[in-house]
Amino acid sequence: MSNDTAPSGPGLSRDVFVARIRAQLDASGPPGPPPSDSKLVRRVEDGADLVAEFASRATEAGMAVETVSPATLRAQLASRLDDVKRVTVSMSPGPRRDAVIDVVTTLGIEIIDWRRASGVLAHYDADVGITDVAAAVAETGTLVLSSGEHHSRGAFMVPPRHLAIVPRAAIVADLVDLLAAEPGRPPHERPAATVLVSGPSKTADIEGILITGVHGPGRVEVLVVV
Amino acid sequence: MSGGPLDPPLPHRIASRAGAAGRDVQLQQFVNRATDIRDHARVEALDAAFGSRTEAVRTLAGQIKQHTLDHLDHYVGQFADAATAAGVHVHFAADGPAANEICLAIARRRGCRRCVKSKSMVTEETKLVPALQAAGIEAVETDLGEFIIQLDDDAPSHIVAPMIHKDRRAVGRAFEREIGAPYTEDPAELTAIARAHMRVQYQRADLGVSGANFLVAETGTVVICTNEGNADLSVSGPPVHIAFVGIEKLVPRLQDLPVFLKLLARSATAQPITIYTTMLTGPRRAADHDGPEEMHVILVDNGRTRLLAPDTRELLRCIRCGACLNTCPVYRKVGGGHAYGAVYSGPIGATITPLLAGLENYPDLPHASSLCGACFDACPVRIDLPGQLVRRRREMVETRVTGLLERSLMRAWAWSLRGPRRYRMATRLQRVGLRALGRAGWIRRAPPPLAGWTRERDLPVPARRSFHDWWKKRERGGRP
Repeated sequence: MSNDTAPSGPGLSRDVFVARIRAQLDASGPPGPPPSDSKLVRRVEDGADLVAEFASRATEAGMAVETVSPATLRAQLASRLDDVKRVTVSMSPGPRRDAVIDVVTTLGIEIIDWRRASGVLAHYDADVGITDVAAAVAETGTLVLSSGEHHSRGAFMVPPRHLAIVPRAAIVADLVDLLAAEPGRPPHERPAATVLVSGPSKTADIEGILITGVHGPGRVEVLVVV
Repeated sequence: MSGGPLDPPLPHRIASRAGAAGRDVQLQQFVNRATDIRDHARVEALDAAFGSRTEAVRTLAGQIKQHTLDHLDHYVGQFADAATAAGVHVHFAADGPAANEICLAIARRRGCRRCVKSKSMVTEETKLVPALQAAGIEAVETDLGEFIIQLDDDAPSHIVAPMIHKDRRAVGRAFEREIGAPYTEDPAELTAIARAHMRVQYQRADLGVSGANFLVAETGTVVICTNEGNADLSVSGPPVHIAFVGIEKLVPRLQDLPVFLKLLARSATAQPITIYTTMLTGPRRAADHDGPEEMHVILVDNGRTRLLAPDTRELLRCIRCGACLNTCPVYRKVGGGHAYGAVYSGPIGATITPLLAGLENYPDLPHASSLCGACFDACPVRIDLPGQLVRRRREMVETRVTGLLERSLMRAWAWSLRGPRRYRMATRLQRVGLRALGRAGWIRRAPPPLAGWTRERDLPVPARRSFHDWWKKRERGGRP
């Protein structure tokens, strides 16, 4: 911590900056725990039908949601990628990713290898970004996407369509559950980016009229595998 | 450097802008409709989500923020440690110029030429875009509303909906003039034009600048809420990301976020949550293939420690949802934010601007409220805005920013209210005086301090007899 306290050019040193704050406060020293009442804030109970809840909230948020079985996943994927030329795939290695690659290759669709290209730029040529999720939230119909070795920040933001595959087990009830304490997970072991996606990109800046697809994808499709 | 709508010559008089806005019927209808829709939608959304718990949820949110502010020294330190552990460079800026200078020093070291920027009120405070441009760095606002405002060399007039004062024709003209797009009034086409234009900007940029909605002390995480997705694209592509964040944005832990995420979007735009909630904990990791190589957080004070004084600390709870603007009859009547002549407008702006920039520079703002209390009812973190506005007025009297005439009249008025006989005498004097000014039942032109009233409308003359006298006579059995 010693080198943090050195001033960085035009900035103040951390010590001086914090001392200015402390001068206005009555007590200093470590505070007790902040007020908290997760029961009050919670909107969806853990025992609820999470697939149904997720599907209706995500649909309300403007996503196209379909429930599929592991057996029909391939057929569903194929039907959705009918007229597509190029995709990017941002998924953890495993049978589900293998299935996606298999379907895409069979259809003669080009897969852009974003790992070799320079950053998020790779995705600008893709028609669809296909991803799995780190989690999903039933309360708000939210997809949770984290960056990592196998996960790009661009795949779900840059292409005009985002197709997400969500296993039933990934769905948590409430934002409260998603952000519950994870003790012992130090900052540098967290993903650099975790994005909660709750619909297609939207704006209402021009006369309050709702338009989708302003910077991010205009279409978000979700296949919930049950 | 002054003259922009948010940077007027001082002292600023709200009447200098509100007068014109008051006569602009189209602007009034526009702002009225936009804010009214948002105001009603907010109430419905909160009611649907929390029902009878709404009050308790808002109270909790206010308590968490207040707790964080009460121990802000601790939480700033904790954030700096955690963010540093995640690989973030944390900087400490006492004011706007220092924050900009920190940013420029990073840009110079990295040789940055082109900046894409997502919406941030703090960078409006520090006037970052002109500073970048003066240093030869091209800077593009990527939020659609902010982009249009930048093209028009205008300024945002609402915290959440920056171009609430502009219509689609203004957008069409700006796109035609500034980026050579064919003129259209169709919002979908206009949005598509902006999308195509901005995609090129994202790809060319070598610097991404953002603000933040929350900082999580426990994990060193920067949380950004947008609907468009412009923040994600602005900070994921370029090799350098710099976040400008006011110190009041801290919350203690990740588990404290849900209450704020649930309240912020509902209070701002009646959504359950913003489309994108982006949580950034450091630059790209060794195994990652994208994301910035460097991430910086500039913690900005810029007057906030002054507001941290016990009497005004609650003002720093503000999460910038804009609900108090939407519900405020004065904000609506003066045609939106520009009349306030500062970065923050509406009730929250009316109370923090004089604290940040001096009561003597903004003497009208504490009075730019009817004290109806709608803002207090709307605030998701329960800031007593009417109470704070009254305190600003008291401070104006105490520091003699309020003129001698007004102070003397108010003192006389206060004296007259201290006993029934005094009161009756004072009202009699008032009645006689006002009746002397009137003609045919109306006062068309009164001397100061009533001149302000009669400039815009006539004042009816008071009745010949007071209700009190009338009642007394009636009780005595006389003819009323």
